[in-house]
Amino acid sequence: MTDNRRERLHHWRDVIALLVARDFRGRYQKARIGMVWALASPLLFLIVFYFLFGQVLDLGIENYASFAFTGILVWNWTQSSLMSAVTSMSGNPGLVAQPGFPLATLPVVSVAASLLNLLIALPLLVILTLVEGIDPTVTYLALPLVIAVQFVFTLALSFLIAALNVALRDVEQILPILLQLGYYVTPIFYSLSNVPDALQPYFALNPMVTVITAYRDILLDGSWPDPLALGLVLAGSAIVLWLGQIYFQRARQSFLEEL
Amino acid sequence: MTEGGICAQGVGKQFRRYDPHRPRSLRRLLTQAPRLPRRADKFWALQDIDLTVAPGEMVGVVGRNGSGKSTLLRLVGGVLRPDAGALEISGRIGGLLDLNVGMHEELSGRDNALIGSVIAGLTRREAERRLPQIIEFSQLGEHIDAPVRTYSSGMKLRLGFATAIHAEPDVLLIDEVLSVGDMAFQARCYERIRKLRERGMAILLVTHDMSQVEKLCDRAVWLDRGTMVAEGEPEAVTLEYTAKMHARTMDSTPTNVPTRRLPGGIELKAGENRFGSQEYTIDRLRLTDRDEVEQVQVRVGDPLLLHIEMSADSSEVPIVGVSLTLADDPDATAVLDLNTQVDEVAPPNNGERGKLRLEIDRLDLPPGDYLLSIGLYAPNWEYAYDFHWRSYLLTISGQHQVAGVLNPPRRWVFG
Repeated sequence: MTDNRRERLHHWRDVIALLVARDFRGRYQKARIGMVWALASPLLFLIVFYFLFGQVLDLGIENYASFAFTGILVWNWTQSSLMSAVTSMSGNPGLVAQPGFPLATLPVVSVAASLLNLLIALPLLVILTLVEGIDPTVTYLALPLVIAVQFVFTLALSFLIAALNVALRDVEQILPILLQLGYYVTPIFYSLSNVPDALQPYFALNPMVTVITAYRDILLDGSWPDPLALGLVLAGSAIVLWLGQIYFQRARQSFLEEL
Repeated sequence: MTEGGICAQGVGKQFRRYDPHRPRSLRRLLTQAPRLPRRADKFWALQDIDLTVAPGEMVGVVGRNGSGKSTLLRLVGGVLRPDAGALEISGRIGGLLDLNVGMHEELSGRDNALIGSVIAGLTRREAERRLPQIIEFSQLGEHIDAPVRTYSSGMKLRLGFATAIHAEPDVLLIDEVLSVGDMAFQARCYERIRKLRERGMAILLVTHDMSQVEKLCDRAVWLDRGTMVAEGEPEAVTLEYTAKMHARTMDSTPTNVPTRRLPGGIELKAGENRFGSQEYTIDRLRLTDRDEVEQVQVRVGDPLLLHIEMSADSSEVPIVGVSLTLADDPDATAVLDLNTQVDEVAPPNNGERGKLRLEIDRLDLPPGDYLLSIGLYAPNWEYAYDFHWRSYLLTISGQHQVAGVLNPPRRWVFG
């Protein structure tokens, strides 16, 4: 049976790779400047934030451009993953009913396709830190690890909301609103130190705070990220991921009953 | 069991009945008074299914919509799990269900064939190896490198079919997709299926097209309300099924439809010469000449126009059929038998009332009295909405009394 299993994993890998390529290429095929769009949106946000919180309401954050850009890119990955994952089951009845198709690859595809946007923008972020006078350090080596933690966290949520959207169809309507609110209660364009001391523990409960802080530790401070905090997020995400995919498989059954 | 086959014993599947009180939205979930979870009301969507399909065998499944055909395909396909019985599938399973599943409009046919193959269960390397065959079979030629968005619907279906059929699973599930493409493409699909069966592929075919079942299948199964009501020789099962559907039209004919007299003098009376559920009705049929003057008599070789007025309270698009038989012989074969499905036209369904005109350029029939029948049928000919059987008198007038069926314009030339 090990052979069979290896073959299945191989198939999974190919499905994910091809569907990620499909989504990515499909998205930018029509646009003449293609992948530049992957950079345009975060850059526009950066310009506005830089003007607002560097010039108009100075938040007193060092290297503000790099600081805000880190937050924007990291948040964008999770946000666009969830936005695409939410309809990954309800929007693909054909795939849900396709015999032999590993449906659980779809949320993985959502998260992986959005990761590409982050990876395209990452060199730009590094250049930005260099321009602001931050020297690259050996802590860059921890970046893949942080990306992995965020991947698991985002994937866990993706399974959950994709399944939830089958039972309650307005989840896909509410998700953008929640994500927009999340943008403001997560220190993306401001710093956790701007938050009143009494409220800080509550903010820290947000796993995205841990994740964004880890990126900033590496890219801006040149320090190693907090292993305990990241470990907690990873452990919690792993549990949610496990429950989420069980719920996802059950939702597939009830979705087919209604089809 | 040898590789590649289906073996179902006593298989059943329970569905939850649609519960109108179950919250479907967050608003309902939050505003609705909390209730104790009730025991879910369940019913058997499929029950006691015993079915084996051996390698190389092809079995057809017929039945009305909602009889459990799709559920059976999903159980066999492994995307639904049975609640009762034992279901054993050996080998890799594939489906010709939704042909354009996973396709991306902006990508080329070649890219989409690759994606489709992987979705159908191949690894990328296997898919790349079969790509030339897929492209050849689809006959898309140089279009294969154009974005799929530029394809006609027929081209898309050809690409989807070629992709799915080249995945070569051990067990293949087909749902209503064999009627894609033109006749030549269909013939090649049949040929391809025959070859795959020779190599031991087991096929389960769900279709409304009885002729496909008779032509292609070794056996047929008839599902009704989730149970198997017949199994056996394809001809025997389809005959029985067709007869039952006919009886259903009779059963569903309401008796309280008012009788009316038609031009030509025949009374249209429910249960006698008018049948069908009356969800859709033919309110008026006018036979006219080319100047739209109502006629019950046309000359040999003259055009005939049929003006059909219908009303609907169903959202389905009906099939419209018209036939002509000799007046003095009710058992005679129709001399003319037309319908919108064969001619591939879809009458628009714009809600309440619809008008449709059939223009026949010339009727080269022997002079005499004919009776015209007209019907509106549910999709797939399941039953009739409204069928007026031999209700409209049409006299064809001409100088020469001709025997036979045809009366074409002609001349005898000596020399």
